[in-house]
Amino acid sequence: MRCEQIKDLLSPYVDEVTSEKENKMVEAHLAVCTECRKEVEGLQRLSAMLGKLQAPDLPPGFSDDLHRRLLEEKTTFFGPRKIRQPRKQSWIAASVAAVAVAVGIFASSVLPVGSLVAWWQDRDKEQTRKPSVAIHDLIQRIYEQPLTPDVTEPGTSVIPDPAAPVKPGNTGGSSEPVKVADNEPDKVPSVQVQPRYSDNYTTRIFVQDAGTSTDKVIQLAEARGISYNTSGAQEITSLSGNRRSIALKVNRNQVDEVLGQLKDLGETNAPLHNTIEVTDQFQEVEENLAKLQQARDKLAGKEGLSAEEQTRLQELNGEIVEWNKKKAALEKDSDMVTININLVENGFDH
Amino acid sequence: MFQEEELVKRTLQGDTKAFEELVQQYESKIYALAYRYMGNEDDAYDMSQEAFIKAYRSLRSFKGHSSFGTWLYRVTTNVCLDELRRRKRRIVPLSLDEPLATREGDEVDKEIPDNTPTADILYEQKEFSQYIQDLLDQLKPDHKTAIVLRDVLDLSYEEISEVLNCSIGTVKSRISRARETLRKKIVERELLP
Repeated sequence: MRCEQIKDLLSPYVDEVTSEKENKMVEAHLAVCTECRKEVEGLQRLSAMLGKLQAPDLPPGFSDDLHRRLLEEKTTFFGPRKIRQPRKQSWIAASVAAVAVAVGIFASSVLPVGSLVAWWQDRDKEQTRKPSVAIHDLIQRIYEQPLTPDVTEPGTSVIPDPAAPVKPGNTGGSSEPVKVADNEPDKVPSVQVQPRYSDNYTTRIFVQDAGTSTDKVIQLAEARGISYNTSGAQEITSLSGNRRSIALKVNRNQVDEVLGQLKDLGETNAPLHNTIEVTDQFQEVEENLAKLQQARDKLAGKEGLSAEEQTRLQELNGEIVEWNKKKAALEKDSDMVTININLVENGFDH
Repeated sequence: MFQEEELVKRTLQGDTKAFEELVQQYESKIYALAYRYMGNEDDAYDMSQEAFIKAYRSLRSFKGHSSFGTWLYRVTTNVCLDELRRRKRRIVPLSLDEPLATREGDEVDKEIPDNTPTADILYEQKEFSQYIQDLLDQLKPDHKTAIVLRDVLDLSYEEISEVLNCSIGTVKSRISRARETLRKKIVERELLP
């Protein structure tokens, strides 16, 4: 069998999608052809390389942006079909109420807001859903929603049905939104943060057994009190070499030492060092904190708060505590260095 | 899967929140996919948003013949490729794997001068990922799509054939071609045996 006849089968062979017959052909050829063996090894490594390409994390505001766009879409997409048009005045009131309730439910169903930096812990649980940050909605409620007396309390789980006919009793006599004294949206406080950076190293180690080596890395981490993340540690089995990934968070002064110790596991590539700018994350935390504090101060300075406003004040205080925690975690986090370790088995030992 | 069907159904009944649950399940993957197609974070962000919005708008055309995920990858692939095509009309980049035809009609491989640095320097310059991304960007769109779905997103050949709406044979050959092109380039840089 000549190389040209076998070449097209090598890539599918690496992915194990060749038939029994094809496997036999390929293996018979590989047994005698160094060149094609090398090619198979190259394909396996290429595949592993691509699988381990570092993609940037989803930017934090993604869900919020999409949420806003979806709400816009919804009004055009479902609106005309679903909403019957009663008398104009009560229709407006009903919509305002529905939106307020919807926003309330959305915000309260995801509170307490997931942490920007909690991703590190969350990655341990592969299936953990990414927390949505509903802060914008909360702020929107505070800044832009006129108060309507018949709005259901935040957190009440009533599903707003846009198709539901408006009951006159619900809005009767109070269809005009009650005006808040200082209804004008406040200026969003501008926050300037210093550029912040986070370091990471990525290293690939060719090992005999990815599982055992993962355990060794964990032992190493635990012995030194280093936090580790094993979300990539389930074995990816393919002919392109079983592989596992594990990430460590170490202090800056531990980097060299830890990298040195990892060399004991097997043939190690020179680690790639990347510096990622994380200013945006800091910026977002600072901005949200500033907005929340501004909103809190505004409410706190007001006399004779309604029950609803008091609830909001409590929510805001809770939020501020949460975001301060996030800020602290983020600061701690950016002082640490991440070491991503890819353990790749030498898959092709014939 | 049943849960996804339920969420799709609820979305069609006007429940945006159901759709947002679907988004949560897929946003990271869709972003990663868009990032590989587009090659930078800003475009990846825009294209992922676009893909979800488009999926939302055209959800009625999702008949459940494939999984929702596969369908969503397809929508994303189309959104990205459309955008790339739109840009291509303005700039014509050199393709690495599209052979040049000679006057006699024979095809010859293109020799693109490779100005990228050698392996050691690459590591020193911390540009490895970017280097691979650049190589991916030079592949023919069909080939790039196939290899990204396979090696980056880890989809099976069956799933890829559904996403791309082509036969498994075609998937095999596209992946094979793409890998071969990339492998040769990387071998030259001594990053592969």
